[in-house]
Amino acid sequence: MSIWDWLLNPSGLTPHGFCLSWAPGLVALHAGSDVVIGLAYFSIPLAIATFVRRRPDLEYGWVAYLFVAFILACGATHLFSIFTLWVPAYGVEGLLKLLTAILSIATAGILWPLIPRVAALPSTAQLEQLNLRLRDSEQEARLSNLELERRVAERTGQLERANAQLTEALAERSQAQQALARSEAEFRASFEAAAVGKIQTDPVTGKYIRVNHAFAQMLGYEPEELIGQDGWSFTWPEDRDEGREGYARLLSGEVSTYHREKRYLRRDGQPVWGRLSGSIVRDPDTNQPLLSIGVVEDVDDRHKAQAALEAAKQDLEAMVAARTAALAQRDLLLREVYHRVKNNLQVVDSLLVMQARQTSDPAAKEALLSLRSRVYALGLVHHQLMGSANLNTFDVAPFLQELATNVVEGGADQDIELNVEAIPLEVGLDFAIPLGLLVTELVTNALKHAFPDGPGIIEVVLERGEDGGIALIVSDNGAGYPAGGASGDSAGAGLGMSIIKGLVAQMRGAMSVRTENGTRCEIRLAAPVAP
Amino acid sequence: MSDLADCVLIVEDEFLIAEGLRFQVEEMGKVVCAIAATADDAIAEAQAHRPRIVLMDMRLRGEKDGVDAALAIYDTVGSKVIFITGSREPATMARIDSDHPAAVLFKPLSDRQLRNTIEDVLAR
Repeated sequence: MSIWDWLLNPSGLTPHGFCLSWAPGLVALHAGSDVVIGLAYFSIPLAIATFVRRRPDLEYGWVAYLFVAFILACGATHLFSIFTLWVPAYGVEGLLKLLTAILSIATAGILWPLIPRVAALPSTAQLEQLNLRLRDSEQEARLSNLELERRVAERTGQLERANAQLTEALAERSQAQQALARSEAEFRASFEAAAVGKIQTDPVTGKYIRVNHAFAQMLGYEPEELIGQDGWSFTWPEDRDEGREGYARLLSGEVSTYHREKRYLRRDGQPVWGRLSGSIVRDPDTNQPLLSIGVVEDVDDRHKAQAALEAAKQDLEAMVAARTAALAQRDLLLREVYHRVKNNLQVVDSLLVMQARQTSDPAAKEALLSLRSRVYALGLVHHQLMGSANLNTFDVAPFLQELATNVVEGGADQDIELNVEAIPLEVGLDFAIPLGLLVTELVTNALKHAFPDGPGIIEVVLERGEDGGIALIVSDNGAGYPAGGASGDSAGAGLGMSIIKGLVAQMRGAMSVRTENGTRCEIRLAAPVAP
Repeated sequence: MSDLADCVLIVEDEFLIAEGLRFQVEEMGKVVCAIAATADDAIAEAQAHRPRIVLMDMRLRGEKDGVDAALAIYDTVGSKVIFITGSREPATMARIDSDHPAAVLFKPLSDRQLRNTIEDVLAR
């Protein structure tokens, strides 16, 4: 028997339908059921395959293909069963079943160990929950992301600002360094090139650290020769002690600056005057003196000039003192002269008093009394001169008041009112004596002649005229009488008149007399020139 | 004061002036008890006569001046002293003011001034 026969027509065997006795019902049932099963078994793996193809992400997808193969094989056996109803191809059918068996066994064999793994796969619910949690955590992540971004932005801002500040600080630092360099250069230039002397000294040792050209030159040295030298050795020996005292006060902080004019010792041994302004640079933390700084101005010329000026001033003061003494001496002598004049006038007055007492003739007595009042006028002028500050001039107003009062009170028995009105006027001896005598004569005349029977008023006025001159007016409200009492009714009258006329002429004046409601005598005089 | 005599002591070293003063005082109806030319004389006369009024010249012969005499008289007798001076020098005036002057008169002095001053001083 060939393989072909074994496959398709095993000898002696009948088709399956024969077993069913070809009963149409049974054959149809088997055939129909197998068709449906076969078709269904063909459809299911197609669906599975389609599904698996669409979901390439499924784990263990290859197991599905085993199912596909095994179900397809099952389907094929069922469809082949229909064929075997009529054809006894039981060899092929057996091979088909063998194939199916292998696939089934393989599937079953693989499936069991796979169960725990597949069971471990998350379910949809789990996945959904997971998904939810994932969404939540995504939300959280987004929020935290936002927060993070915000913080990053904030931090970035901070960093940017810090960066800007740093940049700015760097720029400032650079500027400061430049400024420092510039100020150092400026300082060096101003120190070295200054017209005034500049020195820097070690506050502990007192040695010069740095001196400029001007200072060295003032002392007759080069700067290099002075550096390292003791500063005090260049101070004039007599000025050292005082200088050290002042410097000690500066060093102790008692004073913050130190100004002093002192002599320096020049190389040639001569002194040179300098004005030193000193100060101390201190450590800001410990306050320890770090550096003494001095500015020394050459004031030698000024000092010499001042010394010369001082000497000249002293000479001048001595001269002034001598002149003052001479003037005081002159004043003393002048006062002595005035005093003696007055004393002599007093002697004359005493003689007149004595003579009048010896005289019995009333006219002679009256003449002597007139003389006394004239002498009094002379004495009063000297009295006023002695009381004046310059011993040369005095104010005429109180003089006239005193003079006229003396005449009226000394010569009148009746009740006479006297009014004196005089402008303030500084007069000297040459003006005052004739003026005083004129007033004495005129008032005496008024007393004698104006009021034969009773009281009256006498006025003495000294005023400035319109022409700038002086006007002396002596008036009364009496009976009226010829000027100077020229009627000759008394011994002194004629003399009085000639005295008045003479004095008016001497003073280059002019006199006018009016007799209405009394007598008014006006004398116009040139103003006194300053003596 | 009541024990003082109603008379005037004149202290003046120049004879003529002293005489003139004496006449002037007597014209006024007053009595001149003495005339002294030095400070010591003046003190002695004042103590002897105890005058109510002393007319005192400032400058006197000798070392002492009128103020010295006036101070002594004022202390021992109590007379009123009227100074008569030819000077108006500040130093002199200050010296007079250091005493207790009843009045100061300046030479030459008129009858009126002398009379008014004496009457004034006596009235005090």
